[in-house]
Amino acid sequence: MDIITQAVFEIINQIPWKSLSAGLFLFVLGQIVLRLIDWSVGFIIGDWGRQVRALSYRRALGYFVNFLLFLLFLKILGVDMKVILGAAGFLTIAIGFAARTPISNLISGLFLIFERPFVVGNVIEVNGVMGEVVSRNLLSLTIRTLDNKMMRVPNEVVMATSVSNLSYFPIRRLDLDYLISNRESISRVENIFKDVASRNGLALDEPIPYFYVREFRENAILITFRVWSSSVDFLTFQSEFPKEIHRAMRQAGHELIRHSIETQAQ
Amino acid sequence: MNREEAQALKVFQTQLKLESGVDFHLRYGPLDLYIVPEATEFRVYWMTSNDWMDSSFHYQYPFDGALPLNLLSEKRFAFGEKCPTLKVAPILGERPFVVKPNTTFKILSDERAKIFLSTPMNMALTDVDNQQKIDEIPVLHRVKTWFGETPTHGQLCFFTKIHAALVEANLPFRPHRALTHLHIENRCKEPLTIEKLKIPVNYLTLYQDSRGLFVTSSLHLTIGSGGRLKRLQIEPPGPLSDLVVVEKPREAIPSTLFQSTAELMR
Repeated sequence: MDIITQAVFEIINQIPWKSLSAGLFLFVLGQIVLRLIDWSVGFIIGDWGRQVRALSYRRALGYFVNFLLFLLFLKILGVDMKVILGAAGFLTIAIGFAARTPISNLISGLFLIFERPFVVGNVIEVNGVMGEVVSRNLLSLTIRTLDNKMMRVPNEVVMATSVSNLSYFPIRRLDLDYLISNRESISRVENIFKDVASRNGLALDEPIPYFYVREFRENAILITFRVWSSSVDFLTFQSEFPKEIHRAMRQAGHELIRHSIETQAQ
Repeated sequence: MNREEAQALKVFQTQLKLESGVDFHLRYGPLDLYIVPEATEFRVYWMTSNDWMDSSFHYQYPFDGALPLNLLSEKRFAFGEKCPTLKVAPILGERPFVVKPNTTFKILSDERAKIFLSTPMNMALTDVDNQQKIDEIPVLHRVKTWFGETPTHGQLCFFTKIHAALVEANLPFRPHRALTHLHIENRCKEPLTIEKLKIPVNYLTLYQDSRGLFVTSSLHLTIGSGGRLKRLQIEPPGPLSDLVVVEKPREAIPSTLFQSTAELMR
């Protein structure tokens, strides 16, 4: 028993308590300095800083300061820094190869901060996916799609493809293309379309709804009707308005052969 | 109701102390509003006929009629044990109104004109005890419109068509509409044509005058050479001793509210 107690005391005596205490003190001091830097940067750069902080600069700063503290700690313990730095060289090369995509995303993320093509809450279409921007950080963008899926889009992809921001302007245009029989009276059809638009609570009276004939075909006339709605109401409008047109045309004894819908994000 | 009977509208300055089982009914222009208090909640029912010429005004408390429940929209508000005290009073719209006079008119060069315009209001329910707005119900279904030179530069507003009168007595009286005095001084060399006007009701105070009429802050515009907006002033519509403030502006007036005439009229 005495031998065991003696061995434990020997081990405890061999622990460099002074160095460990100094290292711990350094760590606590480092955390305080880190908080002070974070607070000062936030205070100096204000609102812009809040956005940058949201994009996790804080995390990067934390990694950097903690890495420096770790090196200092090793030095205090008397670890040979040449070995560590040599290993770090190899590690850097390996990480460099592995981190090509994250770095590309990071740089794209920085460009997106300055360009600001959209903000959180906007509805955008990117890479064939439409949804609401839920969050964005230095590496990626998170979108909630209209069918309620959470989707992560790397910043690199956002930079490389075209992005449509459907919330940027307060109003949007709905373009409806219809083919009507060439026996129909164009002016009567035009009146029906305009009447439906004037009665629809979501259609804007201005910009004025616009009806025009695009093409006379062998048995049909291709017409286009352009009508505007607020961006907020647009999805409901896009769904309801064609139904109202169809109902009104049928009630008036007219037939629509085909239609397509295009929307303008303006 | 006609203008001479508007004193009755001063009832909106009083409070409504709800009692369980005692219903309230208000007919205000095209709006029918019912408040039905129960032991732990009160229900608000309403419908609007959308007849913008309807000048009805009457209320009944306690209301002993039957509610046409199948026609009404409903909202429920829960509370603890004590029925809240409500204030039921009109409030100006949450967006600017674009008013289109039935006939375009012109203000001659170096002339001043005072135009009387009216905009439909909402009905607001306020909890008197904690001064909290509970709900707002538009008296009429509002039509949205875009007021701007292009689809990218402008503002989404509500739209109403009116008879813009140059003499107040010529403006048909509607109890559910607030009157705005617009003073325009045309210092331009050419006559100023007015097809449409934007009334920024969200920046205006709603008053009730000694006659019981609802009036907003008045707008004073000075149009300089080239149709440039030289000055815009928002002032009470008369001596403050004759006015009761019903509702303060929804939004604080920014330092540069409007920069050009095109932002206010066309």
